[in-house]
Amino acid sequence: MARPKCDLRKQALLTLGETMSQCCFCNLLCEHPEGVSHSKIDDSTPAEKAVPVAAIDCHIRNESLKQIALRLSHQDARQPRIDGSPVSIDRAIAAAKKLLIAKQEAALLVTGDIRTVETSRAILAFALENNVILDPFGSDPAFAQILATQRGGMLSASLSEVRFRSDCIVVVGNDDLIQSMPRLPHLLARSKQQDLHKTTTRVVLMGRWSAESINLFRSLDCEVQAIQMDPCDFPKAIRDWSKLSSEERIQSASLPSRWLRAAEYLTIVWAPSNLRFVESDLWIERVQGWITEQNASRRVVGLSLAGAYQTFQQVATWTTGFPGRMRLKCAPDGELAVDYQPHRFRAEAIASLSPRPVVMQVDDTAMKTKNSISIDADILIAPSWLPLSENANVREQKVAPKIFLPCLLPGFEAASQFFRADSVYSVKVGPTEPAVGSSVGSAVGSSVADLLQAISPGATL
Amino acid sequence: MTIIKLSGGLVCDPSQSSTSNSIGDLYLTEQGVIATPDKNARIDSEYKLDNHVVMAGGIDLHTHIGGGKVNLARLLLPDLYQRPGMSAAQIDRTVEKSRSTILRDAGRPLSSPVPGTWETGRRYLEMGYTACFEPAILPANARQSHLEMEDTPYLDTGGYLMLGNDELLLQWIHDGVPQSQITDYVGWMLKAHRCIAVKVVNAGGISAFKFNQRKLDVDSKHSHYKITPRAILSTLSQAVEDLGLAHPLHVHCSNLGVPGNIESTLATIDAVEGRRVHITHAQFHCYGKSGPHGFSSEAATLASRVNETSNLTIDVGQVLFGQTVTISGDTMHQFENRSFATPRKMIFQDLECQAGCGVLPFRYRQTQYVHGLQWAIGLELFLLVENPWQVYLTTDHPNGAPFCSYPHLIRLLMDYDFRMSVFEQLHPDIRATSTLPKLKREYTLAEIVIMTRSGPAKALGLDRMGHLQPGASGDVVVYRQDSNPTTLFSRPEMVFRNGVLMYRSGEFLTIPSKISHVATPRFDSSIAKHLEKSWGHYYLQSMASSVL
Repeated sequence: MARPKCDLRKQALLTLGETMSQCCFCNLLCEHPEGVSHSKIDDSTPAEKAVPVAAIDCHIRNESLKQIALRLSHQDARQPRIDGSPVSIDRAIAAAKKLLIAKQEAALLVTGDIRTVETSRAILAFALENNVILDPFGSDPAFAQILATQRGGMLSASLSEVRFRSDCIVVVGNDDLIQSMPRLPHLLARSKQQDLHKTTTRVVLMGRWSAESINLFRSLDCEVQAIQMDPCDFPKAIRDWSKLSSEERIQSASLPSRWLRAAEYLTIVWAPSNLRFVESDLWIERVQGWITEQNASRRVVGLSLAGAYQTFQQVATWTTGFPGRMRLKCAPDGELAVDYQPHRFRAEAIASLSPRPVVMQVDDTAMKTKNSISIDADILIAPSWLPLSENANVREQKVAPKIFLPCLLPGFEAASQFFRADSVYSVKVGPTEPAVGSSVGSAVGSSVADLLQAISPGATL
Repeated sequence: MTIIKLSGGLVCDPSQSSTSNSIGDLYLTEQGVIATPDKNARIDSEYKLDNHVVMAGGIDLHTHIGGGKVNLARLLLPDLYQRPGMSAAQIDRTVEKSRSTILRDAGRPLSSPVPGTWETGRRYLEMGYTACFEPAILPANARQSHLEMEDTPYLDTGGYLMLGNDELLLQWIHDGVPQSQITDYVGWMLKAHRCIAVKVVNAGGISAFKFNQRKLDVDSKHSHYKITPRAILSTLSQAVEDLGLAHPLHVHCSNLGVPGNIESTLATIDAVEGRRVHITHAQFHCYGKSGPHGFSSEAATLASRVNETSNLTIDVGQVLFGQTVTISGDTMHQFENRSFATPRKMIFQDLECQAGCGVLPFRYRQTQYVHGLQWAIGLELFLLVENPWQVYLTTDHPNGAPFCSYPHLIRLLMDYDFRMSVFEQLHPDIRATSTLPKLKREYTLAEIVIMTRSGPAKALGLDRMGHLQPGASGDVVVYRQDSNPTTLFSRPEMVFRNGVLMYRSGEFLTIPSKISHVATPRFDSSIAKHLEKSWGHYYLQSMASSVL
């Protein structure tokens, strides 16, 4: 698909920041020629690239840019609203604050598509003032990984390490994994400059893989073997394989088996969001347990790709000591009171409580959201309220939010930091200067932090 | 300009020996400590401090408070959480459960061995600390580390950049590139990641573990790069000298926790060829292998080397009894110790062609021989190093114990009888062989101030911190005098940051602005061109993204 070259798209790209090489759309990496050299935005020759891979079309980025372009073009989309009608920002803030004060015994649930450090910090600060239950979008897969790790630990590696060191990579899952992270194969394949092993990378695809996915890895000069199986069965399969004696393995040795045995640095790759079966946390726990055991004599690592939703979990963990599915408040003496119950504080379960909780949804992205929770928000803080047909976040709600407060678009109108999908690396993207008139009530919009501060009943007490 | 007068307190400032311990007045403004003002000057506030001790804010030069492995430890251990504000009975039950002497003796336990940033900042301030330094910042993790430290209220912060296991550097040393190129690389990395010093952890060993090497002595060769830790240490220490950094190379030696590791620790000191060096958590690196359990103290050997080497400093990394979690970049040895994890779960990571980390929950038991001896070895080190400017008070939080145990540790150093009362509860084989009872030294208040304030400030080149002379930063702590050092150091009466009162009688008054201390080394910036050529071989993230 040809890239649109409209001014709006150009404007959006121009604000990506000079240091862009991490994709703020899927949280993996991307050569982003536009992001590296803005002066040559329409030049097909990219500047020196961080990731030496051929430019490929990325459907996630294209869709995201479309959303951003819409966000920038629809002045109306940035208009605060009450019950669907445009109002001034002051009226919308006052209404939101009144709603929060009036909630009395009802719980306050904060959820949403939260992707940046700045929004995470703002929400945690708000929670400390207001006794809030937190459960952002994407928590189910995030907590599958977190709970598995909290039970048994893990032995893992970061993306660069795997690319540099690993001679055999087992990717477990199905085509959706590539759909959600289109550049993953390019990132796993070692570049020709990296001649550590003097061999190409061996990739074993285990799960449900189409010929297209298999060929994609092959096109990257990887040696590829695919084993079609239910991904759910992987832990048993790998344990059964490792229980075989050396002789049995030789006798029954298929090519993948020989690769696994010969690997000097074996990597098992999965994405929790791609493990769409019940008790995926147990799956992860078993795989991580196997990996740790293997390291008694050889090097095997896991690479869990958490996706876009682990930035909030990182920030919640360093601020409170716990990942972010919790009830949080600050006691009068300033001590944090954390009620960490990941099984209890699921947003859907909380939303069904009686009396019904007040629900505030905070989105700091203009992207379509796959993991949105079907809960009707009373207050929506988001970069825009696009026409319902264009905005997945709003479209999936049964009822439009009672109060809509527009915020600046993180990464474009406000500098933002977020974590890479393997949790290790964080980057900052966006303009270095704050948007002109970015205080509450300005025409441009407000940061999430400013809006939350303005509506917080606790802040005035 | 607001002038605050602190009058009549015992001002303890060992940076000037003549005024190390004397009753006097101190004047503060927002700019810091000032000389006695003109008698006509308006004093805005005066605090009468009879029966109080006044000293500079504490500085912890080695405490794990931010970064990837710290956050992994938090994530791993929700089960160790104790709700703040426990009743005395609840604390007693916890003490009973964990068999910890720390909780009972220290004023206020942490909710977890590795708490969140909010609690970390508050608890440190409640002990009178105003600056803390994260000693292991991985370049790839630098942004996260700084974000976490930024979110740690009340404290100035800073960090040491972990080098010496980065594949790029190892390759360059293997290739024999000029020292000047490596010095420029170190300077560039330090500046890009906004750190104040350079740390090396098990030089080359973390990388070697990625190549399935399980041991790497100072003169052993890395199986892939064919270079030795000695070469890495020599190269990095030269780079630190060439860059003129205030803090010497901060070294975590090769054989962490391994019986008999004193040999490699001494070899490490020799490897820097007479340059300045700081050996960190030295307690974990001065073990012999004699005695009934094949594990013995070599504290006297290391202390002797410190006493005869003026440019050698150490921090101790004292072990205290109770539950904690060990977090280290030293994946090789953390993995080796995995069977000791309590509770039985652990995290290891190979990270970004730069280093790694290991997170291992651990319980030090008073009656266990090895743990008891580690406790004794740490104290021996403190007591045998003659010059308090060469030894700094740390527990390598949380590795030896959580930082909230500092008041307890100070009492162990200042009170021989108390020290012996704990010693008597140790394993009988320790009681039979340890030299600790013979060490009757009791630290003076001035010496404690040196170890916790003036010494760390000097070691890090923080000219305005660690003393109370005119021009000092105005980080001042007031403690109520008490014959029990634990009580004295557990809870200050007042804490000033930059001359502003922010804590008084258990109440936090305001959250001050804070800074991150960084080094600004001079180097040839054309190194960036060399780096660009090699960067993409190792890292997926661009060089530009790496710059903070």
